[in-house]
Amino acid sequence: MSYESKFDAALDAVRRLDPKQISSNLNHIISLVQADDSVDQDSKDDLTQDLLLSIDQPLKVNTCKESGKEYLCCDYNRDGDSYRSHWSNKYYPSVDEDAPYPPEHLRQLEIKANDAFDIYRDLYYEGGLSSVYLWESEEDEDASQLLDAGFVGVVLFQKKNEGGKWDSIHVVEVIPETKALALYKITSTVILDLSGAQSTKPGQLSLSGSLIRQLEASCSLTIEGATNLETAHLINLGQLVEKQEYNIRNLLQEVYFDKLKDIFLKDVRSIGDVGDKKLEDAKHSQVIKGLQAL
Amino acid sequence: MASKIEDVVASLVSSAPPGELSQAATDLGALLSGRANQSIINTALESYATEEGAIVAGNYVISKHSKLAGSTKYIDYVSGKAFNVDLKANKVLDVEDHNVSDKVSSISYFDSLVKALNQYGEDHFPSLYAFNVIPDGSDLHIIIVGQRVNPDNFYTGQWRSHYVVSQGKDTINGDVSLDIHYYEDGNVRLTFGEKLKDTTVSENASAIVNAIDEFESTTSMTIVGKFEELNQKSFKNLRRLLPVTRSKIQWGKAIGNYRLGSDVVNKK
Repeated sequence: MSYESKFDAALDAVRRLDPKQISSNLNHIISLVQADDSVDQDSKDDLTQDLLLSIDQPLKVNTCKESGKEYLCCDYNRDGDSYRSHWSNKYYPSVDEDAPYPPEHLRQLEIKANDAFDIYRDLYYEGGLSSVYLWESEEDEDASQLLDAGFVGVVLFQKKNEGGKWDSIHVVEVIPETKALALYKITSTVILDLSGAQSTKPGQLSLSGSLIRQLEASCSLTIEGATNLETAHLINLGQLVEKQEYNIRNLLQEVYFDKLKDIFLKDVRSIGDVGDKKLEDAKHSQVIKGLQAL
Repeated sequence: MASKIEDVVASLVSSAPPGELSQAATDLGALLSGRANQSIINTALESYATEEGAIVAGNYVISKHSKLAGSTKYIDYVSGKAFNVDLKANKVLDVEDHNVSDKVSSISYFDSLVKALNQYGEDHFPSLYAFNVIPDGSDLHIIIVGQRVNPDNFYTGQWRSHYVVSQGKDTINGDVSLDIHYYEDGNVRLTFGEKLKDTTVSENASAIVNAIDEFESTTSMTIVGKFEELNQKSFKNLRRLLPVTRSKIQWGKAIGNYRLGSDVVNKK
């Protein structure tokens, strides 16, 4: 079985298996990958690495010792078992010197982006946590130390309440097109768990899972009010993340509360008599036919 | 190491949606391709499916309670057949007539119960529907499965009920579970379970099916109410649709003004 077909099988399994157990399912799948004796260790490790990067898990929270503040953790600010804090630019637990850090120009943008999205978080989530991490585009690692070369980043939000938990993960790639234009590729995942702590008890409804949306947009870098490239990127990133979250929130509302209820009552078990409903549907289609005939 | 793989596979299989067992098994089969491990997957599938009760080939319900002793086969008391199952292919094999009359004849209302459960399915289950009625000593197991598999629209859903009528005691116990999976551009799962405890019922077909109908309809109404509760109490408070200002954010240099504004409010 080739690398690709194994990777696809793992992704398909993750898409089918219970999303509430995503982290333990992913660990189990990785242990199956590692247990395959027919494949050499390097390609097993490659597959493991790619799965960890491709599959979004609920965000972890770490405390930044220097600032005393909490920050969000995902595979993108991880090095081994340590996670980099956007507050102090330090890893906790501390790491060797060769751990990756963003170059100075991206660190400056990262600080400003964290400030801006912290305000966004306050306005939309009225609580919770936000973190932004930036790094260089892979192709340009040795090239320009300037913002003109583009960059990659992740914007994270987490909010909890008594009945649920929301994790937003926006992975953004910024590719310069011209001096005045950049392409933004954004993949947004929201993991929404409305199951509460009591979900295993009888009588508790659990709605849990994630939805993914992708967006590509060419945005102007010469925006009114943006005096430099940094500000232009902050405005574009802000607007795109805001748009994605607006759309996904509406989609979550539709899927969790309308779609699932419809499937239950129309496809699985109806409360009223199915016969009555069939009759109603028939009448309904007659009315439509009648209207179409007019 | 070998036993560990069995545990890992069993755990993965048990988190698969009931209507997607064969797809999940295919995925795990691809991951385990390098080893002679396909039988581990089949074992895990069968134990998961028969623990709870499962629909096979669209019209048979199998359970650990309907296993033919000393055989790999399962008995369907409704049709009087015994068969092997291939859960990965969702098929029954080696179907043969099986004499159930010695077990069934002790229950005077067996035939009318089957008839009433058929009618119950027509009334409330719009998609696949099957049940099994399994005499087991003084217990009578009734397992009902309603299922919808709709891969074109990326969803599967299943209602499963398991009741035990304790003969001579006039009581019925049981549990129902609802499991819906929606996976277009994501992976969303609904689960719900409820128990029916020590409810008095006369031992005749219509009384039993009426008790089941009443419990399942009440449970269905409860679920509809829970949707509304989760929407209002949990979802709406996690993230606003728009900020209090009811307009999208003015990004850029002026964004600091929002903070200034809230600082002023907070310091009052």
